[in-house]
Amino acid sequence: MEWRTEGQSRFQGRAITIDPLADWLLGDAGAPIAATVPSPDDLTPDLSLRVLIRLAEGVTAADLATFAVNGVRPADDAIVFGDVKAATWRSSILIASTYRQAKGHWAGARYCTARIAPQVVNWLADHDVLASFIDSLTISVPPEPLVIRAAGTPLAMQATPRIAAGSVLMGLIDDGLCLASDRFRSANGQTRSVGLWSQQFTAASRPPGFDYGRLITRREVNTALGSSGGDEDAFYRIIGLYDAGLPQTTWSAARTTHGTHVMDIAAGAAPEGDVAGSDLRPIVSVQLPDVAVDDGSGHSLGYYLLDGLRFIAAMAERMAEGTDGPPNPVVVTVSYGNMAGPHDGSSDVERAMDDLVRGWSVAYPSVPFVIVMPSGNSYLADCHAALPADGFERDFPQSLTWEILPDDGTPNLVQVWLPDGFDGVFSLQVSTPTGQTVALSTKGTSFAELRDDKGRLVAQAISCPPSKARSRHLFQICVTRTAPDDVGGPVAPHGRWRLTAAASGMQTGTHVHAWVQRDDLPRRTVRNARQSRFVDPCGGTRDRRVPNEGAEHRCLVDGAGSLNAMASGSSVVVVAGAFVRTDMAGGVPDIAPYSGAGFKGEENRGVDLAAPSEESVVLAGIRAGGARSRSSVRLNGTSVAAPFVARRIADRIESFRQASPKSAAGGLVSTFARPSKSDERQGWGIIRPAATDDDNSDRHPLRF
Amino acid sequence: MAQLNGLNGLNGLNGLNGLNGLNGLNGLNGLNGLAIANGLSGAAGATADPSALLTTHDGIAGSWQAPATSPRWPSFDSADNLRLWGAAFRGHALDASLFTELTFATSGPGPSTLTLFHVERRSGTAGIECDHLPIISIRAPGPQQFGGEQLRLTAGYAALRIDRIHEIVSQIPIPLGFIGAIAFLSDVRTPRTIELLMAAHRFAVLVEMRFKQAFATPRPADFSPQIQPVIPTPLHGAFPSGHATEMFIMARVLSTLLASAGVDHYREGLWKQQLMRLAYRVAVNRTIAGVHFPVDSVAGCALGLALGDYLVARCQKADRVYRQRIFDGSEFTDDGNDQQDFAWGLVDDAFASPANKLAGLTTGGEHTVARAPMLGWLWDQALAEWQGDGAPAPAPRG
Repeated sequence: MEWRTEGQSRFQGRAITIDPLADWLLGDAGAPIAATVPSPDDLTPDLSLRVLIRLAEGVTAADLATFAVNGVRPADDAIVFGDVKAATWRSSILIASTYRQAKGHWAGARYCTARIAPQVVNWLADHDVLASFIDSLTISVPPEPLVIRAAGTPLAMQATPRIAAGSVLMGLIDDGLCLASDRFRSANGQTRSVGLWSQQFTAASRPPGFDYGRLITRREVNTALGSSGGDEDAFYRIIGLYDAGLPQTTWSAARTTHGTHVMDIAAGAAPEGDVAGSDLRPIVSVQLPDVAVDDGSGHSLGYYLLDGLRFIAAMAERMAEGTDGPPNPVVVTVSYGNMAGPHDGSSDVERAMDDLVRGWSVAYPSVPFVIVMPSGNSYLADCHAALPADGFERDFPQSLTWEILPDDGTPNLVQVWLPDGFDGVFSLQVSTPTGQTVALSTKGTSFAELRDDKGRLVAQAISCPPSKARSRHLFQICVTRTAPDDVGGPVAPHGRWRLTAAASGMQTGTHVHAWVQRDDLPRRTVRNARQSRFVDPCGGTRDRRVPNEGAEHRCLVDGAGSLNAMASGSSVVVVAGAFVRTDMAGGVPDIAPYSGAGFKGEENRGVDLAAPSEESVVLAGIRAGGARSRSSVRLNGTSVAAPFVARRIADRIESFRQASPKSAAGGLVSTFARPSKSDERQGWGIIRPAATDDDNSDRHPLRF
Repeated sequence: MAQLNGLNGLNGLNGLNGLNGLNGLNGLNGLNGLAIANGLSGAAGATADPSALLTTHDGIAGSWQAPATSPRWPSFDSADNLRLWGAAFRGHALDASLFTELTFATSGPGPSTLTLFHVERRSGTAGIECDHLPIISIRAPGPQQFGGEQLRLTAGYAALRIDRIHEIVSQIPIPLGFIGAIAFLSDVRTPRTIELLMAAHRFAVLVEMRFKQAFATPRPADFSPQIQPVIPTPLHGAFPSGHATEMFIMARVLSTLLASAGVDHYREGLWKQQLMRLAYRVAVNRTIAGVHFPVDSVAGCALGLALGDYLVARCQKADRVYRQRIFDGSEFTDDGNDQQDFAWGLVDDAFASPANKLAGLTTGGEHTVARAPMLGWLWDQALAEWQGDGAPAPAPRG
């Protein structure tokens, strides 16, 4: 086994910023993730890659789909670049019609999703002219063969649901959503769901403008509620969401699901409670497909997430059609996240969310569209390290030990991000547990592949220089599985990999940040994933701070900076998790030990506030609705804190008509003693459930 | 009691074998220990050491004095005599009568069909004559159905094992505790109801084992090494499901008993609904565990409901009518949007009215049967446990 450096990255250093994983996915037939992807040189346009695209300035998705320049559409047989005809381009990229409109919140959108033939990625790398259309391409992996149903038209919204003006529309993007539960119904037994988009299976009734999945309308749900007569098992069968033989559908028969629990905290209410109260809000939801939910790395999520958010925004607009006013305010809870990314809001997923909120606020200046996300659960996961500039100057060993576990059936990934504007020299030496070493540098080797004795790809180390849509230099190391598979594929050595960094010319006070990507089992053990991490002598301590100067060892691994890598955008409200009760009389409630945090000193970006995710140190989790009416289960994690804040933001929007997401969240914490966000773990502080001031406990999702 | 429970010796070798239900007393153990089996004698401590009794007798009996009167004399073969016996012995007498009025024959509407008949005896010109009235005919699905869609469904159900494992294990023996949680059964308050349910259970086991032998259906673990059931696969055929048969006969008998008590409160459909849902859940848990196919539960449900209706008919003083049912597993296939999965509501609807269709399940003619006096006695006793005295409580507000 040895590192080979004679190769070059196919996709980095080009005019267009291309996903740093593209070489891993598409460059080698032996690369494990790419095993199901047709060769990129295959000219048959098999539209199997789902991507997130940042459009160049002034370009619309419609332009991109047709290759229109300045409004002029080339003829089908015209050559548009290289030897590629316009017709070939148009059949190699599929953008849902919903992105190709220009009204409402779509006006000026800079991001769209698309399904492309793998060949398109080669074109983006090889033909600079395409940079006039596209700034950046992120691939939602793992890719899968897609069955596009040509037959069937999108469902026309027969009776557009109407909701009361001023009422906030609660949005949700998550996994299994158990709509039949009475927590999501009105007093008359009818559903409060105005639309559920199940992205898993494609049916004739797709959401208008999208070309996959199935839209389950309010009418369908009410009809199924009626014909199932209170038997919720029968409901899921009747509405076609349950098939015992399809594992993707068995969630509705489980005791609980992540999505239902989160939805209950955000928008659940006892139907026979105070029916005039605003707890009975309409719900619009998106059920993510298994491929996104089961992929702990989060890399598969972007495509479905942006589509889901656009769907929710479009539903709000559609419901306002025919009325004189703007859409109702929207608060969306997205309780998902991962660990590796730039953490400065510049990833495509984060920018796409900001772009949507911006477009909405331009179209509807007085109407909030709020996205609430959790801060993540990796504060103690030892998956973030910060290498300070002065450490490089004093030649301290800026070295990280990256431990990859045995019997890990999924690849592991580390990203090392240089500070913005870095113009010095940085080198990263990568050593395997079995002693093979290679060094990459900003000025030298930029691409290295570790291949086994059979020449198969085991690991890839790549240096991605700043490009059009990525201003920071990124080093990425990707290592294949350490568990053997059934077909004798390549296996990486498990154990301690060593990453040794050296740098000159770093600005004082800046840091090089390294993250291990998330690689755990979000839901089921269908994938043999095991989390790798940094090993640091400071590991195990709960509160890591850089020791005083002169100390022999510096703690490089740091929980500050462990924030959800999808939650650094400027428009997202980020929620940390906290205890409801402390175990000390008169004690102050504390942050949950795992709750992800932003960088110290950069509190303006990071956690906004904290909400309950643990009852107490002896009673874990928060109790909320299970899969059936009157069932309750406990789940913990910052995932259950985010919807709590979403509900409170909706309360405030309805009460005070606050327009901007951050001011709505800020208003929530206006009663706190903290004058500003001064804590990277708590933000403005911990919001607690109303203790005793409300004797109608059904108004609150948390019953203690 | 050892000799009467001789079969328990066998069960002791394989504690997870559902055969525990063969002796209804073990079901009572599931609820409240051995107290009911001994009447209340265990609790009252009304027995004493034999050698102490010997010496006491010597001390106090004295010279023999012949009594002038006799005890009350029992009427010949009166069901009322049953009140004098322990529950286990009542059970045997009752079973002896019930089971000898049944017979099986491999005749039916189609091939490979086994039919359970009620034998109705009447006095005729040539002595006792018998009419064979069919109760239920069953035909199993074919190997392609089991090995195809049924196996696929069973494999898919395993996804729910993480949720149901506790239920699966605690529902291996007769789940009387679960039934008792719904309808508040207790050996103190409702001993005869429990006896009635155990009689129904023994009846179900007798019948289901004969059907299982006829079809000898392989279990899911026979089809695939990947099923890997979480409990030992029982040592009898898969189709029909024993747990489904037993749970549905008990649910049917109990919900009918409650509705017949003449008390508005128990006439609410909620009692039947919860009992049926429980029976369904126990049955599906067996599929989740990997020891049954969904169609096993469909047939078990149909069998349990049919046997329950028959049993209830035999208990009544009048209108002792039941309907013949036919379950043809070879017809139980996908038809349009229907699945080959088990939904108890569909079976129950088909039982309620022949206009409600379920693939494979058809309804035959009605039959009137003679009363089973001992069973009827037990039914009346059980009924009284729910009737109570006094005026009904006012309806709850809201």
